[in-house]
Amino acid sequence: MHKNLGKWICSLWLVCLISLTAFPMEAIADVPYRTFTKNSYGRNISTQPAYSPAGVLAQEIPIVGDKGETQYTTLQRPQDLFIAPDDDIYIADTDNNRIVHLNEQGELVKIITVPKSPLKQPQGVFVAENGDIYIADTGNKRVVQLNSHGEWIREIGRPESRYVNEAFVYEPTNMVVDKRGFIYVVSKGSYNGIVQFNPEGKFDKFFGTNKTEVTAMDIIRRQFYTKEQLSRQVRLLPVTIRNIDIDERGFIYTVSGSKTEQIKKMNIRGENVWKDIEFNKNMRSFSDLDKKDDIPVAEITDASVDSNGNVAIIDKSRNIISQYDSNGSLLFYWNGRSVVGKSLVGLTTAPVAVETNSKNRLYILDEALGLIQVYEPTEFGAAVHEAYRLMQEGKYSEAEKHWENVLKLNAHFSPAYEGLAQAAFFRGEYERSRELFKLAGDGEGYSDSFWQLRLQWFQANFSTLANSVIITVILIWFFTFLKKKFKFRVIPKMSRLKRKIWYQQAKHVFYILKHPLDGFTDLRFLSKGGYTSAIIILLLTIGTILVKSYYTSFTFNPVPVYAKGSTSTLTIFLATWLSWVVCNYLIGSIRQGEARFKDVFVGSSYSLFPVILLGLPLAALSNIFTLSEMSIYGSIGTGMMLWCGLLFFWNIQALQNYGVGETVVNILLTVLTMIILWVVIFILIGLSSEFFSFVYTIYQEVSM
Amino acid sequence: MRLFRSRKLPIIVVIGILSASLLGSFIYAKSDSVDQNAKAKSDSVDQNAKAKSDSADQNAKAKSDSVDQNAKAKSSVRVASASKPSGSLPDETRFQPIAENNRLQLKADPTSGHFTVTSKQTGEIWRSFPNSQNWQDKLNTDAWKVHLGSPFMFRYLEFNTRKDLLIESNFNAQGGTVTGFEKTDDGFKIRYEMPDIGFIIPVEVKLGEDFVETKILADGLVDEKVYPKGEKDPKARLASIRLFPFLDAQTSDNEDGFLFVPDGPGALLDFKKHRTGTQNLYSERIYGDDLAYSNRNTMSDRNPVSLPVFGLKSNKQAVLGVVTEGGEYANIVAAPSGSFSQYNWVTPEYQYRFKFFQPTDTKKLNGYLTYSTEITKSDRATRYYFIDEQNNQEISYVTLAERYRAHLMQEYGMKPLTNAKLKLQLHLLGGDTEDGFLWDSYLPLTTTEEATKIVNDLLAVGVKDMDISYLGWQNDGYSEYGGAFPVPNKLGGNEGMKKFAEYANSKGLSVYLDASSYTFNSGSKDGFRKNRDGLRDLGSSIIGTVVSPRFMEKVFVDDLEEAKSLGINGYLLGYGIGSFLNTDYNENYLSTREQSKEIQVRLFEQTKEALGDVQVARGNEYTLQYINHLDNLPSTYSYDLFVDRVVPFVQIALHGLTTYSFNYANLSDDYREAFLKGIEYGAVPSFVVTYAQSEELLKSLNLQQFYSTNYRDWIQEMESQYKNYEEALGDVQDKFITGHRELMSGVYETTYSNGKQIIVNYNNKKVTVGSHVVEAKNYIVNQGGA
Repeated sequence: MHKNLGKWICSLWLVCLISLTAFPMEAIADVPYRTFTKNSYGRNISTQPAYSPAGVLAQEIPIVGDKGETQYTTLQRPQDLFIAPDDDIYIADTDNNRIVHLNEQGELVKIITVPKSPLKQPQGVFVAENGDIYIADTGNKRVVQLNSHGEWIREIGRPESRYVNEAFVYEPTNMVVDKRGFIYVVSKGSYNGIVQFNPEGKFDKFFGTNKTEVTAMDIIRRQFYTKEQLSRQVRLLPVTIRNIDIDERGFIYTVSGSKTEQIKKMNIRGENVWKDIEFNKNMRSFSDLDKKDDIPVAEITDASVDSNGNVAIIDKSRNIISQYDSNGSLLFYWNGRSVVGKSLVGLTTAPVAVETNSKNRLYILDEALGLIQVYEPTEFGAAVHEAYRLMQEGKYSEAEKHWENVLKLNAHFSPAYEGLAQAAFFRGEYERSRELFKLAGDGEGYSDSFWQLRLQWFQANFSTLANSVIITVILIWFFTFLKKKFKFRVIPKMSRLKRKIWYQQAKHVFYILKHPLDGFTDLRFLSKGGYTSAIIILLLTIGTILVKSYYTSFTFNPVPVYAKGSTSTLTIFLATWLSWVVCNYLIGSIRQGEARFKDVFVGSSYSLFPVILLGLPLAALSNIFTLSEMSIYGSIGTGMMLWCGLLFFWNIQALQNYGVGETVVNILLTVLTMIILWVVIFILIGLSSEFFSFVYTIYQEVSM
Repeated sequence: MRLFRSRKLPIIVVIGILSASLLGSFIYAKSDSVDQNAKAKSDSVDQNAKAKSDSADQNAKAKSDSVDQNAKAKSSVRVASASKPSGSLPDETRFQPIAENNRLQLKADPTSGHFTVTSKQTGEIWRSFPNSQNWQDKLNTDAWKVHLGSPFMFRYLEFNTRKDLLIESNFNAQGGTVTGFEKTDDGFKIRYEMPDIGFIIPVEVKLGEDFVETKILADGLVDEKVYPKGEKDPKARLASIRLFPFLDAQTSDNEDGFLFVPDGPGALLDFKKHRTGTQNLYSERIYGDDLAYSNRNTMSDRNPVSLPVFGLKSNKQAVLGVVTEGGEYANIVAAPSGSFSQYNWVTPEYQYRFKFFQPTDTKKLNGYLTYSTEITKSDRATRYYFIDEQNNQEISYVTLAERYRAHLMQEYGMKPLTNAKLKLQLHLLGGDTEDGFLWDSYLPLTTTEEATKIVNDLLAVGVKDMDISYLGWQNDGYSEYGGAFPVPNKLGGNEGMKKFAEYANSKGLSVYLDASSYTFNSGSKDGFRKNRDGLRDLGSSIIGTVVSPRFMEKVFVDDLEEAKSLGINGYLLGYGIGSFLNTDYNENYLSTREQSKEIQVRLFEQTKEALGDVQVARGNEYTLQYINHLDNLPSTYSYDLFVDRVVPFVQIALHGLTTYSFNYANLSDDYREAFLKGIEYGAVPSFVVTYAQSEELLKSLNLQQFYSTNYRDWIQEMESQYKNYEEALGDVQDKFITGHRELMSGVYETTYSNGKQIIVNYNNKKVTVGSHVVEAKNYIVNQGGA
């Protein structure tokens, strides 16, 4: 707990300011960044690092000059990094107009400048399986292909085709080459997508074009604007593709600056496998803490796939490195505080390119620092990767061992519970899988396990169940028969209770259920209701709501106990109910209603009775239902609400002596008044707190 | 339609108009109040705007460049009016002998204000200015040439110009003169005066047995100038001084030395001709950042400096600096060659004024950065131990660490351990608060009875010696602070704890309670009221849940009796008691950083007196004399790119004086490497466990950092680690480390005073060292001479 406290005290201190919870009691790993994952409920939780820094490379590139002396040069605004299958490293050293080739240890192998036709601002580099080097020579608007020794093979210039119009700007920034030899080129600012060349270097087609992001405002504009106005609008264009990567199985990954689907995983036909995923959503970043005034917008710059299909994503402006598995679910993400002018091992400041080598080490090229940060998976990270890989291959039981190992290393890593649960389910240990699914926060899995358990129970106990039903029916019949014959009472007469008025009044609620209109009228004219009974019913309702939200099974309410939030439920319920009563009375009184405040109060309370009646059975039912009976459960719930609503309706009608139309108007006005009431209350609170703080500040200044 | 016919129409209209006007007036009033606010603030708006425009580079460290730029501009303006400052080093022939003893001779030059120290034995000379050898004019900027020649550099503010911008200058650039030079018995007193700006800096230099102590006296320090009427007073005030910053500074031409900074276990910056980056600067506050100045200030991400020590070695000489007075108000600053100038230098920087964020609204979102107006005065002294090469044995960081060890023994009376046994540090996590549906409840994780079981199991597998520290034993559990006593009943209560302590003592084990939680109070127990008793910063805002040190002292001392009655052996302290140090601006409990330090020292004394033993987590230098064990020591550096080597300086200095452990082995990032590091650095193993399954910890939302604590998962590892440590280090717990070196890449050798050697191989393949083979990620033990 005491670990590296100083390092993080400031960040925690800021967190504290926001949440004012426990002070600095968080331990931090011995790396200059923090690693998080999301637990089953989407909360950010910190974990031990999944990757640890393994040093920096390419900090300085030694060049032997003409006279044999060694000069040290640094990378200038490098834009791309590529790691060849043999783990050699290629860097597009953009502002130095060269490609730097290093070996795995970071020692210089060669520098490629193509003297025959010098490179100009190359922004991308790719090495094909046969060793050919492809360079996105951005400044010269071409792709250069060299053989493995750096000797010229050919260049691929602007695509010529009738599908490519004149306005198309061709400035290659990066490219990949697939196994068939097709070349996929990213062109700067191109909204047409990836330019796909066939192996001969001829234009084939545009690939993986993004869809246009249309906002609601655009649709409205289109409806109302004239043609002329529309033509003056900025044309809606698809988001451009920034970067590209390819994995062993031929999936092509594109990186775009869109809001969702920033990373697309596309098969050869250009279909996106990762639909509707929003990457890097709700992630914590130190840059947010430091720059509270203007939180930087995410800027995902590159992605890289490792041999297990996990994808590492880098975000340049927020400095987040995240990793997703091959299904697009988050594994980890990490970031640290980067301070201008201070460079740390393992901490990026402006990451532009990421690559993974055959040992699953991550290499991240930093544009600002001009070097490569190297990370290697920790024991924990490797264990998680392995478990995910096996699970994806369907080897649940094999994955189980790895998940157990992951949990031994970090019991808070909830995806592991999911993995174990699936393995247990697979094996038929439904009781265990149910518990594990609960830990993993998976309501569906929980429900499925329960379905199996219920089936087993029915199978085992069907005869007993059937027999007991028959016996109960016989017993009841016998009992009613006896009761008829001897006329005895089962429940003794509670004469003392009966004498209490509130008891009588409360009992009236059953009458209301049967004869709502009459019953509510009686409230008013026969004094069948009073404050005491109304409050009792209100309290019962509150009790029912609490019990219901506590006992509703995990299937239908998959949240942890602490998140069920008793206080918030209660506050919202009471505030709504009370303001309803007040507003309804006010509206009634100006709209010639006849109800007194007492009537509205009592009536509104009595109308809640269905909740008491059905809430508990509903909670009980949720514990024997599974998601396949969702419709029954849902309709009972809706029925309860409808019944309540109807009672409210009748209660207004009867008590205020309204017609149906008037009642509807009354309800609408009440709702409107409630809204106004709350707006005014919030304004008042806001203003008075401003005022009080103003007075307090004056007091402070005077007293100081 | 009834609405319009009814008589109530006028009423509705009136209500409507009223509410509309009310709303309108609210909105108007709101905008108005904003205006007024703006007007009220108008005089600070300027500052504000400036602060905002400058917000990108709030960080002084990151900004040092721009400060430098500014300083250059400023000093060049000043230079024109004052006498031409000399951009050269003082002439050594002008130095007169001042004092000497049998080892060293001190010479000084009253004109330049510099001194030199000569070793009588070897003739090595240490200068208070850079070594002129290898000086190359073109490698240093004009501004830095003046800095290099000056006896001190300083930073100041002009409050009437801009409140948040430091101006960097130095004695020579200000055209300063020495106005008083007085020989004393063992040194000299000197008065540096800078009439332009009105600063007078009195300094005392004393020669000791093998050291020189320099001291800036609080008495006589002046940083105000009386301006004649009509002349505008820029209100220049002192912010910090680096006294003799280039003492023994060397260039990297010979690549024969290093700078040592106290980051983590110790970090070295080698003298390197080629080094990327021109902004490499290490600057860290001794004993860490101060929360009283934390609002909106980016606090350091580096390991806090817990030992105020630094060093420099070049060729056949070295100097070890120890800040002996006013350490709590000093930074340690180091820059390798190629950054700022061609020299490698390391120095303390004494702080006199502190940057803080003055909020102008209650939400503390708006405001401006400024410096404290009051000067924080106290004597600031640094002792420079001069070390020269003996018997052709090259000076290394081990030599420096050994000198520091001697310093700790001489100055703090620390004694070498005798017959010390290797003890496994067992931390037990007691309990925490569980968030519930209607109310929170207590979540027991290791009750005292279960603790007995754990200890029993460990004894059974052969872990003979342990120190047991109970975390989260306090009344509401680990993450709730305040009202520590009594031990909660669900944990076993005071009685249970007493029984457990008795049991442990009967087995010869010690029980410690973690009492660092006294630093905070998250509730209202102990009579704590946040507004009255909480730590406040300079802007008078309350800081989180931190308690005023004086209030904490009261509560802590009140509880000591009860702790004593439990029969425990001691406390494990940390956080605000021994680790971090804060100034408190709470009117009820005012305390300076120095006084906070004294409070902490008192608490250590009293704990030791009442309970017998004290451990501390990440303790600062002033706690070392009281402790039995140093817990949770950082084992790595802060990942600065300019650090070339990480060395066990702290461990070499402390081994044999006290035992120490690193982070809990079961929460390591890399289990094997952490274990090897422990073996290499001579630590003892440390674990944190619970009796409850690790899953149980999920019920509390504040225990995320305890990834894996189920003791059943770790008992085997505890056994094997204990046995391995015992075998490797069991017999050297009371021996000093006398040697440490890197044999080849990733292979390190540690030597103890009895000749025992441990060779650790971090590489993924086995290596051969002399006649020994060390397996991959493994180590060997050489019994050596003993």
